[in-house]
Amino acid sequence: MNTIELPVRPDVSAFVARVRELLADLSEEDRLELTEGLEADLTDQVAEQGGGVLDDPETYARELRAAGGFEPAGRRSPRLRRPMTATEALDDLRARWEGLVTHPRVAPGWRVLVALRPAWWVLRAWAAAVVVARLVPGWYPYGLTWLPGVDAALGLVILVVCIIGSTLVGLGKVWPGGSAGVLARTVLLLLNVTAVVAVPVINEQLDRLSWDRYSQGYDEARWNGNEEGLVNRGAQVCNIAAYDASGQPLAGVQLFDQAGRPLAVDCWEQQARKVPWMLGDVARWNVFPLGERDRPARTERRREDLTGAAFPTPDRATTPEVTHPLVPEEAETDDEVEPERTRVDRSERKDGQRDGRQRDGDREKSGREDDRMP
Amino acid sequence: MDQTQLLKGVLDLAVLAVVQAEDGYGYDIVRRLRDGGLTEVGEASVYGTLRRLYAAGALTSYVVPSESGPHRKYYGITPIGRDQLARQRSDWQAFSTTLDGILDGPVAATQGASA
Repeated sequence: MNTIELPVRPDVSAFVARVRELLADLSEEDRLELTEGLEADLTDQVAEQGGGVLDDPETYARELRAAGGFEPAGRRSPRLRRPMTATEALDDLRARWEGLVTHPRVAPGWRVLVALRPAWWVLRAWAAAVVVARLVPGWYPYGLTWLPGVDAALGLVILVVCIIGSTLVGLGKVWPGGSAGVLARTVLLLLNVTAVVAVPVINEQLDRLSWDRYSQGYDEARWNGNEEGLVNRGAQVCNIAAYDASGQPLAGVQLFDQAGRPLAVDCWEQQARKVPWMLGDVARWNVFPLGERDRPARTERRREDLTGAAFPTPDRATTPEVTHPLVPEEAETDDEVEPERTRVDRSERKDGQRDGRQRDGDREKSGREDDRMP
Repeated sequence: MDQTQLLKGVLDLAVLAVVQAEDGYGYDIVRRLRDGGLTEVGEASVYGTLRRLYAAGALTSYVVPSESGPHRKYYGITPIGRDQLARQRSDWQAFSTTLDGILDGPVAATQGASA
């Protein structure tokens, strides 16, 4: 406080003290700003015009407060301040906000934001449109990425309606915009705050959604691509090299799955290079190994030309001998143990040595088929 | 018409103009406004206005010690204040021209508009 070498008149200091008291609801800083130098001003004034000005500190304080841009005092005594009504609270909030945005450091930025207001109307309309689209029953998976869940046309209609509505509210032509009522102001404030919060939330959801969509598409692509084929350890099976229990390679092994369906080993990109086995004039693709051409044959004519076609060389000539866990090792002879599958019909051997062997599959019928299915 | 009513909208402008002419302390500014003809201006209104303009960055302030009494708080104008003054001055001139036109009657107003 700014006193004094020479005494201020006591009536002046009493007056100033009373004025300060009447401004007690303001912050210390504001109060100091309003009343600093008041003694000096009043001393001058009293010296010039007499003490009449000191009669009414209440009016003086009120005038000071109003001209200083502060809210009128709640009631005479700040200690008896009643709780603010909703309107006052809104006014208060608004005044604080205005105070903030008219601050010289903030004002230039705020002016830019004010100019961008229509953009905000569109943005909040979009947020509303996303919410409305979610309220539409059902989920349409192929809509707009940024307005998901509904058909694109419907989404656009919703968006346009929301933009028009938001703009009319923004222009104050449609409730709750432009209304001075407490309810309207509260609703508008809540809606705007909700929109501010909703925009990043929606953005994140859309992000997640597009990732889901991507990985779903990826999975679909993976499975669609192999829907008709056979996958082993993540790679497509294009041919099968079969060996018998003693480790000798087999040719003409017909393979079926547990339901009796021919094993569908067709890598589509390699189909043109493969030569299927024949049942009459029907190509059988479940008989292995499949012959391979040295160059792809994509036409009927070229498919008939089998020059250069041969069985592929398996990665090993033989494989170690294995024994059957369910059959005791009584017979060591090659001809006895033949752990081929029930439905595998050896019509031909690559080396031709073992032609005419008995099928002994029935003996083996022990449900092992599933084990060998990839 | 009551001068205080009219003053409400333009007190900022008047205070800024006075302070721009020369820095001054509260009562000094009141005095200059009154000397300029705004006889009914209330001191508290002027002090409050000074404070508000200061808070908005349009004025700067400094305290000058006095040997013969309490310290005086002086106000001076800032660049922001100058901008505001220039803006409000032209606003006021446009406004008063408009109002003059209206007061001069419809004939004068149309002439003014077509000119």
